[in-house]
Amino acid sequence: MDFSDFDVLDEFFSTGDSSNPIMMLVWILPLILFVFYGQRIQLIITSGDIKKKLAKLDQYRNDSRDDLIQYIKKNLTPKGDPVEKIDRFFDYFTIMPVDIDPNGIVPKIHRLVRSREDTTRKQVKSLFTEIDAMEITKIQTLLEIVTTLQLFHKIVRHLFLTAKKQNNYPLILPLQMMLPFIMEQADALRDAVPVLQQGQPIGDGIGPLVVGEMMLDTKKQKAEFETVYGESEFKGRKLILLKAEGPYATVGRPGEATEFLVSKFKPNIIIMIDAALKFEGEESGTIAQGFGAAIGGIGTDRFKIEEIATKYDIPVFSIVIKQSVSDAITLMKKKIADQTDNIKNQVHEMITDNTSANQSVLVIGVGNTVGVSQ
Amino acid sequence: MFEKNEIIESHTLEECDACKKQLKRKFSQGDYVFKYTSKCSSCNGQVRITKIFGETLTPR
Repeated sequence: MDFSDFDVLDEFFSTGDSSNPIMMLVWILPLILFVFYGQRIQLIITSGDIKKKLAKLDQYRNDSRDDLIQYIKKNLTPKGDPVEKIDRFFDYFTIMPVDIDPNGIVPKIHRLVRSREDTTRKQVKSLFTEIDAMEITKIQTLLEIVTTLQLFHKIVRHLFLTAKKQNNYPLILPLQMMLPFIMEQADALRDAVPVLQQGQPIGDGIGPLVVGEMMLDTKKQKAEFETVYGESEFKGRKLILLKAEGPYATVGRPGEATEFLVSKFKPNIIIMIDAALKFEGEESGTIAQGFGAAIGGIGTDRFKIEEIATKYDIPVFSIVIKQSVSDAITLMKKKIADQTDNIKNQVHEMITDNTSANQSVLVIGVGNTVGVSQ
Repeated sequence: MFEKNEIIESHTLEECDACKKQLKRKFSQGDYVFKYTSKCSSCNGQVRITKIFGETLTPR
């Protein structure tokens, strides 16, 4: 018997013949299934992944909260049990001012941010019988970290449960797209907790590190709350050096301090040194020069610096040190710390290129100065 | 982002103000950059912390 032209597939399913009813079912059923239930199937598949990440966010939030409470109980002297009050901090919210106000909302945001900071500081202080400035700034920063992790968890959970409740696949798509970015920040925040507890410098502190070194043999004076300045000289130019007061875990008040120093010294140029987020593919620790105020945050400090620079017609130059989110808020990596001399040389070059002898320069080291004195 | 199998070890770099002799050691609680720590063993100058940084140890 010759089986050479016997095709099993063709015999049972008649693949060459479209009139076979079994074959028609095999093709049409999945089509119908995907047309009517495709989104639900995708929702089920995506849900699994989101659920895992949600559990991870929940764990990060709980771990960082427990770490903070453990740190307080072990290293500080709280009045009674601080847990209830600390848990209340994590749910604090800020209502942004109405943005249809034609008079400008920056001063309102500025006031709101400062009053939130001041209130939190007072409340942290009231939790302890005795606490120094270093510990207050550390606790404040750690509270911000746990609050942010809690917010991430709440938002992701809300979007996920809403999509599930309404069986609404398109609603879950933006969440699926944003989740890797949220997780990157959450990972970095979780890694930042032990670093801050030990008061170690973070990648964001590279600006204060450079300026702190330039300030070493100068008389430190208060420019604003938790912000100090010193006066120095370089090749006939007067240098006014400004940074947050270290080694506290603070960014200081660079906006108000710049207003004060510009009004007092009328510098010819302003140079700002700050950490900046790198693009994917860029090396961490790369240095770049540019123009304009290099400062992050909600925008009120940058606004103040831009306003005062415009008022006195002062050019603003910037030097940024590129790094990832994780590098910026966790222990400063060696390759970033090793750039200090290189950055200082670039600052000096910028000064000689853009000013002449007897002129003055305001150099600002922007960033959190935890673990970096001056 | 730190890789899962990466261990970050924190180090403190000290330098003598006078003879510039450097010493790298493990970070200890209370260290901060520009803190004066001790007298230099070679020239009796002031030793201060110049850097605190993390280095990656990749397990074999």
